[in-house]
Amino acid sequence: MNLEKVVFGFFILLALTVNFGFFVGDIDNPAHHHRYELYAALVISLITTILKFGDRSQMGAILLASSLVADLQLIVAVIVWSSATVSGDPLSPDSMAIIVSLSGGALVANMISVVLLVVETLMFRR
Amino acid sequence: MSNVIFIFLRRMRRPLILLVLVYSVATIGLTIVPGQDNQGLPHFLNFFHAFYFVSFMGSTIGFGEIPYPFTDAQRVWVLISIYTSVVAWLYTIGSLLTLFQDPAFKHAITFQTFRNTVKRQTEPFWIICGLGNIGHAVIERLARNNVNVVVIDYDQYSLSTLELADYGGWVPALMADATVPENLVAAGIAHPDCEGVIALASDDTANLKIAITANQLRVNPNLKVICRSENQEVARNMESFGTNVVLNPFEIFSNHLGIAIHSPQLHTLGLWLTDNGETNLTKVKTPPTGRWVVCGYGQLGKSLEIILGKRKIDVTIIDPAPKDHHAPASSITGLGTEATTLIEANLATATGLVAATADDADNLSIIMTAKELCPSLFTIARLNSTDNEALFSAAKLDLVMRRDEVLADRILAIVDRPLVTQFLRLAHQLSKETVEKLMARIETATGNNKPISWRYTVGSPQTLAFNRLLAKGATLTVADLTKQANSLHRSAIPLLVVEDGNTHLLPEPSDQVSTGQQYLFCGTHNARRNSQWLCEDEELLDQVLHPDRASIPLIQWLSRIQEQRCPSMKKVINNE
Repeated sequence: MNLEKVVFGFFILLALTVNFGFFVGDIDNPAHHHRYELYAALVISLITTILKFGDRSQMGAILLASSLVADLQLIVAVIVWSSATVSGDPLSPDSMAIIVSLSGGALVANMISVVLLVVETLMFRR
Repeated sequence: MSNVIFIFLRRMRRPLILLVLVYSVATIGLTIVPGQDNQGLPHFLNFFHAFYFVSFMGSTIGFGEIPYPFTDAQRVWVLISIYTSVVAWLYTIGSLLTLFQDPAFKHAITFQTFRNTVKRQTEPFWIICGLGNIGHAVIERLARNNVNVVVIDYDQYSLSTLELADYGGWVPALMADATVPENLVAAGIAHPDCEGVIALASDDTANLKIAITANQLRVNPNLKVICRSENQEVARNMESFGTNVVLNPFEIFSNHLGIAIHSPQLHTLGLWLTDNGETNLTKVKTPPTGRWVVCGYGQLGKSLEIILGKRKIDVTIIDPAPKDHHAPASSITGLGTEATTLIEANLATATGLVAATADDADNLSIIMTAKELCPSLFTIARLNSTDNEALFSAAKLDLVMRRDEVLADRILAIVDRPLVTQFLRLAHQLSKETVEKLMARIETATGNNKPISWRYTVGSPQTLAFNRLLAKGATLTVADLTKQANSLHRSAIPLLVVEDGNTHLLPEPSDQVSTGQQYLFCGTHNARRNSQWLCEDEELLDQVLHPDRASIPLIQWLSRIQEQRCPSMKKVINNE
């Protein structure tokens, strides 16, 4: 067992689970989506991206790309949230829907990451 | 390009993750720790404000507390955040600096820069593998003749000396193992403008490996491979792998000496036509015919014995162990440094002496002893280490055999003057009188200065004026090629014509010029410039060929337009 591999797999899975946790619930109901969860999803996604740096293989390249997609979607979601609440107003259902759908996109990217990781692991076993 | 970025990303993983963690924890903390607004009501920073504050706190320790002055609880949190973020930044910057100092990273950067420089090259260039004394001598000569070179060498020290020597021109260098194909590719072996590879490593097998790589990876079908080899077997192996030229310094030198003894005129002519940095025509002291004494039956001794033997020149060998070295039976046992051995070899009746051992001190000692015995002797010594150069020049030898000079002169001749090399090889067929006549012609043509030589192919883009004239069906003779607008200038001497692989020495002035012929000329700088103008300038060519025609440029121009318009005028030129 390799500690580096554990950390790598841990963060990739965590990125998916936290992202999913934020995503579930009614799409336009602010009570179902907590801001700390979105924040955690972004931070974990960033860390996952950095962990994927520097792998020259084809698999490494696609893993990094999927992470970058998730980052992009989550950063846009955070910007939307900030700009919607910067005047002190509570979050409107419209904005919530945008943010949750963006995080849904990031969720798909994170899922692909996990699938690729599992595929690579299986190939390695064989 | 990818290598540098990948190393960079890999090394920066840890510091970047630390930074992300510190920033995210500091930001989240600021949104949780309660604050107060102006009315004393509880107020929480939102993520946007918290991230904004943490961003400037981390880099500048703050512009102030926003949007309301912080409570003590917030200040405690900010205090903790300041110290952790400063430590995280120090760690990041430290890692960055370490990375830039890292030899592997530095090498990746220089390798990439080198590869891109070579890739962008659009002019023909040569690759030189191995940069010893020979490499330096070769680069110096090639740079002087505006030949582009790329250098690969193992040794950082040699490359630093290259940087200091500053030969001018385009000389990118890489510290790498030239036997690794990847490095040769970076140096441009697969570049369409790569003219050839010169393998100068002191290790013959390394040169062989370079030759094989070059043969396999070349893109330019005419890519030349020139290898240095001092071993017969490896040399034959190299030739079987498509090496164009295998250079053995000892053989080259022995051949030179053989020619110099046998036909001194040819030797002198060769010196005139090869670049040795001098500007005057020098009458060299030619080695005498007669019996030669060679001390040391090593590589030089062996090739001297074989090559001088072929030219029916008597050679007496002195060697400390003639039987072990398979020397001829008539060899004399001894080192040659003591008078008795030299007397035993009948030095008094010999005309020349070659000190050919691999030890500089022995060589000098042999020469000293021999000069005391017979001062009129023609003396040649082999210089093994350039450190002893001063000693050898103080000994006032008639000739010094320097491996680097011998090889570098030869390589320059092959790379930059292929036709001169061909001419000198063919010149053996010429009679002694013809050579003497040619030498006298060169002397009068150049006014006792060293001639320069140049070449062009009729029909190539350089000879636009000739091409147009020949396309019109006009006849052009060799004499026309060397005609001068200004009769005060001395004219050029045509030395060689190559046509479809057939060579013709010293073409007659009345010979006809046709497309596809390659000409070699020698003469003064002025003659060369004139030749260049004649190639390009239709008007000048017209004026030179028909001096009696209209000389007012406007009328000349009008008549040329006339000629181009009516086809019947073409005949006029034909008949003239």
